[in-house]
Amino acid sequence: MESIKDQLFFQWYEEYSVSLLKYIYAIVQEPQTAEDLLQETFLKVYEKYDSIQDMSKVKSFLFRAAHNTTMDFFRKESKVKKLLNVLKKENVKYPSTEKIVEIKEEGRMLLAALKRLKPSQREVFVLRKIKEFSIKETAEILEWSDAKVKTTLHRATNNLEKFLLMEDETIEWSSTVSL
Amino acid sequence: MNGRQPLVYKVNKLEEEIIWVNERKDIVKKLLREKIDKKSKVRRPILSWEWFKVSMSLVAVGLLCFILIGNQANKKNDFQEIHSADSVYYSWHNLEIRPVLPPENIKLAGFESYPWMIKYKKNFDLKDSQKRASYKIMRPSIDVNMPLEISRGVIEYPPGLSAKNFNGPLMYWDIWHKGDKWVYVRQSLAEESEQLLNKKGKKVIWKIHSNEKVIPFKDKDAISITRDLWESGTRISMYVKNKNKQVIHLELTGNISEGELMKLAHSYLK
Repeated sequence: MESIKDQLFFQWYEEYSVSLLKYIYAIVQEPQTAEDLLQETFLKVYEKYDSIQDMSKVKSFLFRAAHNTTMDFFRKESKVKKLLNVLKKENVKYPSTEKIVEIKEEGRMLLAALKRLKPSQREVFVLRKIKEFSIKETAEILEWSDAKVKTTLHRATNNLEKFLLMEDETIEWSSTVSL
Repeated sequence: MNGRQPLVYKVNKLEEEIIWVNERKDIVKKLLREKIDKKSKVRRPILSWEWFKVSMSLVAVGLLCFILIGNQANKKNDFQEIHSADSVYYSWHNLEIRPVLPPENIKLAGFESYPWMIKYKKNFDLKDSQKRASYKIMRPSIDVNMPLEISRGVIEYPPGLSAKNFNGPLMYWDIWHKGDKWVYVRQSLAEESEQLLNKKGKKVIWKIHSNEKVIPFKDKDAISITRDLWESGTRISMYVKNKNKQVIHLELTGNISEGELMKLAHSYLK
């Protein structure tokens, strides 16, 4: 029989896993890595279940766990490790990217522009503009000050607009040439 | 032309643009369940040094409890009731209280005669008394629910000495009075404090009359001896050990009921 802890835990999974996967995916932009990190996030949450004091803030808690897991991933992923992972992954039969995450054409452009941002800018942008967390909630998740959230978000938005404009110009230029 | 659309529009759409393939959610859930089950089945082996740590912690906790219980026992009232073959007697620190004397018939003077008795006493001045007295004066809170009102507080100096020249223990009086009801409260540092508290010294024996009874105070290191003065009222003599390990002698005499007098005595202790 499933314990209350397990019941609640899988209820959170049902409710938040899709949103968390999309968040992690927007940051790492590798479908399989995003799924692995999602699993790792939920395992961490399961282990730290007893430390959750305010059940009304579970969503923020989950996103903070996802943020920490993603940041750990960026820190640990040295070049050598990346290579080892690639070699390891070659032996494991993973489903192809398309079978994990599907991206529509419009989304691809924005994701490509997001990828060009620094991870911290990418994260604050996704949390504020896509996940629509408030400044205070974003600051809590990232463990930053409100001011840092505002300034980083401002820089992220400016850079993103710049990158998107550059993408537009490239598309227009290539279409002109093809004509 | 999509690139020309405002950033807000693109951002709002991105959430819909990323689609996590449906069955993947269930697959990850299954994997998670397997990992959690595996984790809960693997029991962590307890290393021998961990046992040592656990037993050391238990020893430390035991010692701490022993010290705390010891301290608590020391803090308890030192009062003891000793049953011997022929009688019951009491002890408090070095004071031994033996019931040996017959009842004593005392007639108290009326309220009007007390102001004459305290002719050497000055009007109460707490600051002055606190500076000079070698013990802290105990006073009840004024709003104590009594059928009496405090009419005055006075400090007694020895005859012939001015307040400035006197540095010894002071006698302090409170007078409670209303209509024909009155209480005189007297307190001073017990002269025999040293003997009362010094166990190596000579045992102090206090002989109590048959119209007296010994009442210990549970929440304070104090004892009281209540004397029934028949139509003249009641007297409560108390010894209270203070923080400086001195003994304060507090005496309440009045023509109110024993219960009310005891209530007043308790409010002095608080």
